[in-house]
Amino acid sequence: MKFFNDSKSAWLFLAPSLALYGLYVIFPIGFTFYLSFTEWDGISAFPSPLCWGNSEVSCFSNFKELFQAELFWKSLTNNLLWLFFFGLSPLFGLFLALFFHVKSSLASPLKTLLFMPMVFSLIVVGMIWSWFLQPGFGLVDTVLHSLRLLPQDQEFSLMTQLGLAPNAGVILAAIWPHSAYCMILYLAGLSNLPKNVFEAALIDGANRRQLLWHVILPMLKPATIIVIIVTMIGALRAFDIVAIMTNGGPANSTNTLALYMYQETFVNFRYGYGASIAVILFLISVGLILAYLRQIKKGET
Amino acid sequence: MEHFRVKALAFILCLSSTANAGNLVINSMHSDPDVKKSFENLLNDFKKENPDIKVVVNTTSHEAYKVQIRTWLPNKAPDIATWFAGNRAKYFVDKGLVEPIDDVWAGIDSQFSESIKDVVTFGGKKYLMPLSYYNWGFYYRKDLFAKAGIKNAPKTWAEFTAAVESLGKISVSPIAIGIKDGWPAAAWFDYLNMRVNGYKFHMGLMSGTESYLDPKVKKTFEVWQNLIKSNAFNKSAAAISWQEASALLWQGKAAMYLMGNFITTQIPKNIESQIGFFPFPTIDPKVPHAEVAPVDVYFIPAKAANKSEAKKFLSFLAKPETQEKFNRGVKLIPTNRNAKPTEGDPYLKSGLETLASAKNVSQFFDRDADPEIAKAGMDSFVEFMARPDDIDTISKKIEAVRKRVYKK
Repeated sequence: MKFFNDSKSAWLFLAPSLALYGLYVIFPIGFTFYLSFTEWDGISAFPSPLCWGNSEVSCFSNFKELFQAELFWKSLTNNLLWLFFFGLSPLFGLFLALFFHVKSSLASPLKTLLFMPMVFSLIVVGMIWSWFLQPGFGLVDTVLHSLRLLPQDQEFSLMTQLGLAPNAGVILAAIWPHSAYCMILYLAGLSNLPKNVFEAALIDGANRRQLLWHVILPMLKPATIIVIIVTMIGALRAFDIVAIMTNGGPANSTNTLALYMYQETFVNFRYGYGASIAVILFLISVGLILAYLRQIKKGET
Repeated sequence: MEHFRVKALAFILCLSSTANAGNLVINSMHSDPDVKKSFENLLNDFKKENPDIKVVVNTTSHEAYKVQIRTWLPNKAPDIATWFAGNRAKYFVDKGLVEPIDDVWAGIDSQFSESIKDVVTFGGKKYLMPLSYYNWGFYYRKDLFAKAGIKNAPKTWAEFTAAVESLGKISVSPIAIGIKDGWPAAAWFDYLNMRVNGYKFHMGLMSGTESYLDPKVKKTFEVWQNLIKSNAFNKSAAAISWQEASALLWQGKAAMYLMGNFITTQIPKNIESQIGFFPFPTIDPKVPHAEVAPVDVYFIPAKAANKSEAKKFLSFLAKPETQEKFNRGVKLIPTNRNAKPTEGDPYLKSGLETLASAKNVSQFFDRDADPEIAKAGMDSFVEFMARPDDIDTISKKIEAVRKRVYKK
């Protein structure tokens, strides 16, 4: 005797996770969209959208202000820098993975050492690197002085400059653990590859470059998709390491959209405006990822 | 909608406890071990006097507290909350979220200085009970000053700039500063502006009634500009935190440091005797001294359930003995004039003298100004210290934010 048909029982089993998904993912996203049309300060009565019953105010006034804000474009530029340079870490990861995908008594401890930064929290990574790059008494400063690459009366000044330069320090710090992460994903991918394909390719007379380009890379595609999406998300949501290393400074030179959103919302208490940054960040992320996945699909057919 | 808000927020933040008669719920942001312990001792004394009152304390970290208070204060408030004096409190007072406590203040009025009463009074009514405050000023290396041939700690601006010059000659940074977080730069703006233009103008600027394009502000920036251009500050400023800047002082790489008295708890033992204090020098002799002296206060939320117990507690806080005991534990200065100052600490002594001679106290840039303007201001000060040439662009940036905030 059957109480439920198949689709009913499927829904029943899905219900708990759907409820959680709705509560923790769908609802907050919708709520953020809603907030972005308001001017809530987090303390007054719960807001209705700006334009309700007030035709003089545009519903999109938060977005209008955002697009005129110098800081928004600065942060967006920095996020693009992140996308590009942080986006190099899959390459490093792939290189390391190919290099260490050998059975040798040395490879294993080396892999572990390389994987170390992945175990640290990003906060720790950020602190270590901000000490490395410290003007006056940081590691880089000391090394440059002892190699006489920097005059004794000068300090290593990368992180004190205004403009794009200090982003280099922050992104470099982020690449360090992330390359290790990409390496692990690629290593997992590599160990899943069937051996007989390599052998067949070698018997057919493929050289090493051909083997890499025409056999290994195409077969690593599932790993590559994951790695690239994780990297894109990492670059777009860049927050913790920036907050700990520079807090967006000097004078917002290294600010990112995620940090800007946090500052507007929880430092300046402009919940509506902060939500509008979140919405833009969300649209950029979804747009980029969809575009990428579409490209992949196109390649498959 | 109101109902939904109350329910949803109370659900999300299960912070405030339920309050029954005879209970006293205190929300506190003092999570530092020293302060927490001293506060616990204070509570024990209070409980001894009032055995019938059941006290519950919820301590949250400083930063989280600043965000969360906005959620619980209008909804399900505790009976006592910790906060800052001045404009940060005025924000809540203006929204009708703070209970006036003139009855608690009745009779004890004379025990507090005018400058303190000024920052707890809004529209003629008193709303806050101050417990402690601390001073700001220069902490300096006596040995480096001696080496540079500076006899006395500078009292006037001419003496100060002369000291900066002589210190530059013995190749140390005359002044240490770390502005990775913007606020140490704001201390400079506060002091320069208060010494150049006086307390009244400064507070007008902080509360949004004065403009950053006023030529007076330009004068303040010019004094600062001259200092920056004479290489008074360490070049690493923008990349280091305030703690790392204090290391420059401890290591003898910098000679003085404009900081709050909390820095004295970190002085390494071996150089303790070398660290002295002097107040921020006079720039314009016609302008009376105002000091930066953040006051920690306690207040009763308008929605508190146990107001009579809360008032008992505030009366207890105001007592000279309570203030004396609490502040001895945390190395702060009691706000009640009848409380005996902590003995044996030279910095507390000079701090007390500095504050006693101050006509007014300000609460620090990011507490006095609207948060949004404070953020824009501090970012601009950091930019200014790196590129001191363009005063007008800097002022315009802050002014643009001020205009947007105060058009409302």
